[in-house]
Amino acid sequence: MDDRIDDLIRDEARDYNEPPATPTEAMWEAIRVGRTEGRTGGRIAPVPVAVPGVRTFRPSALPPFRLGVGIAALLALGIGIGRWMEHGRPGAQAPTVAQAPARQAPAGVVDSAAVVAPPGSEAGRELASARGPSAPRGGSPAQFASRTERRSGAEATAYDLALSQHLGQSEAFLTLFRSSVRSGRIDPVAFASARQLLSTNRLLLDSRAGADPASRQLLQDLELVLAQIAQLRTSGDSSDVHIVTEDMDRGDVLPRLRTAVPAGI
Amino acid sequence: MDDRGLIARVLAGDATAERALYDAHVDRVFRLVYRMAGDLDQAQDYVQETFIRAFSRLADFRGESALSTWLGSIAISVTLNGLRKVKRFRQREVALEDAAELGRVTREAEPDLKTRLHGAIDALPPGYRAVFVMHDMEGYTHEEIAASLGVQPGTSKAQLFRARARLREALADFVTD
Repeated sequence: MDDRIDDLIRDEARDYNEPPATPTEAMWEAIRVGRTEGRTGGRIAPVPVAVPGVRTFRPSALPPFRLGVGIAALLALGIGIGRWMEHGRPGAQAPTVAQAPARQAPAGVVDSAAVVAPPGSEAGRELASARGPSAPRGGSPAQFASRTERRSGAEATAYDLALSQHLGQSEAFLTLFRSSVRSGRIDPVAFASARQLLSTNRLLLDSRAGADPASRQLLQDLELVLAQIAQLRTSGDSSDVHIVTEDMDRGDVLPRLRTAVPAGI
Repeated sequence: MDDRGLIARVLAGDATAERALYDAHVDRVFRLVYRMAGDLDQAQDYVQETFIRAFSRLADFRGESALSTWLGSIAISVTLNGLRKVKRFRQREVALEDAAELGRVTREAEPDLKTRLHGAIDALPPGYRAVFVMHDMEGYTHEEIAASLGVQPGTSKAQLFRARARLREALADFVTD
C-alpha cells in the first residue's frame, strides 16, 4: 500500500515547481556585477551549512516590529557604550589632562584650554591630590590607548550587528516587494514596513555604521528605494511602482544587500 | 576539461574558465534551487549568490567531494537561508508539528490530487523538503544529499522516510477512495 502511494507521489510530484529554461546569460551578468562588488569592498561571508532539525536562537527570528525595536536598542547601546567610555566611569577623572591656568602656558606655544600635565608638575600633583588614595586611577597613556582600542572594538561590533540585522531585514523585504509587484498584489503592510525600515536606515546612516564608505553608499541607495516605496501609498500610481523596481535593478540594490549580509542573519 | 583543471585555471585568473565552470554546473544548480524556491526571481537571486560565493571561496575547495556536490551544498544553504528570511518576514511560519495539517484539511477546497500533493510538499519542514526534492525529484544520491546538507547519509534516508510518511498521510484518504 505504502509503495503504491510512494509511486503515486513520485509521479505526481514531478511537475512540482517545474523549472523553466535556465536564464544562463542574465544570471551570469548579475554574477559578474556581484563579484565586482565583492572585490571592491563588499563582504562575502562564510556559508554555514544548514543542519535541518537543529534550531538555534536567532535574533532575526523576532517579528519585524520587535526586530526594529531591537535594532534601535542595539544602536542606543552602541552610542551609550561610546559615550560611557568617552567620559570614563562615574566618579573617575581624567588623570593626566588638566585645565591649565592660562598664566602657566607659554604664550603662542600651547593651547590654554587643556594641556597634558607632566608627572610631578603642579597640575599633576593637584590631580593626584584630588583623586585621593581610593579614587579609581585612569592608568598610563598605554593603558588609555588599550582602553580606547577595546572601546572601538565593542562599538564596532554593536554597529556591525545592527547594520547586518537591518540589511538582512531590508533584503527580505525587497525580495518580497519585488515578488508582490510581479504578481500585481502589493500588501498594504509593505508601506508600513518600508517606513519602519527607513527610520532604522536613517539612524544607521547617522551613526558610525554609516562611516564606512561602502556601507554608506549602500545605505543611501537603500534609503532612496525605501523612501520611494513608502511614498507609493499616497501616490497609488502603478507607473511609480515600476520606477521603484527599475531603481532597485539599476543600483543592483538586492545583489549588493545579499553580498553585504552575512549568511544566517 | 575536467573540474580540477577548470578550478586551477579559475584560480589562476582565467575568466573563460570561470564561464566554463559556470556553464558546466548552472543547469543542475538552477533546477534544484528553482524546485526549492518556486519563484523565478528568487531562484535567480539564489543561484547568483551561490556562484558568487563559490568563486570567492574556490581556493578553499579541497576536492574531497565532487565540485557539483560542493556547489549543491552552497546552493542549498543559500536557498534555505533565503527562504527562511522571506518566511520570517511574512510571519507565516508554521510550527513543524502542524505542517501535515496543511495538506490534510483542505480536501473539499482542493479536490485535485496534484494540488493537494504540491501543498503538502510546500508544507514539509525545510530539511525534509530539501531531501525529498533532491532525492525523489532531482535524482541526488543520499551520499550527495548528506554532503550537501552536512548530515550523515543515514539522516538523509531517515528524513526522506519521514517526508514520504507525511505526504502519504496528507494523501491517504485520497488514495483509499
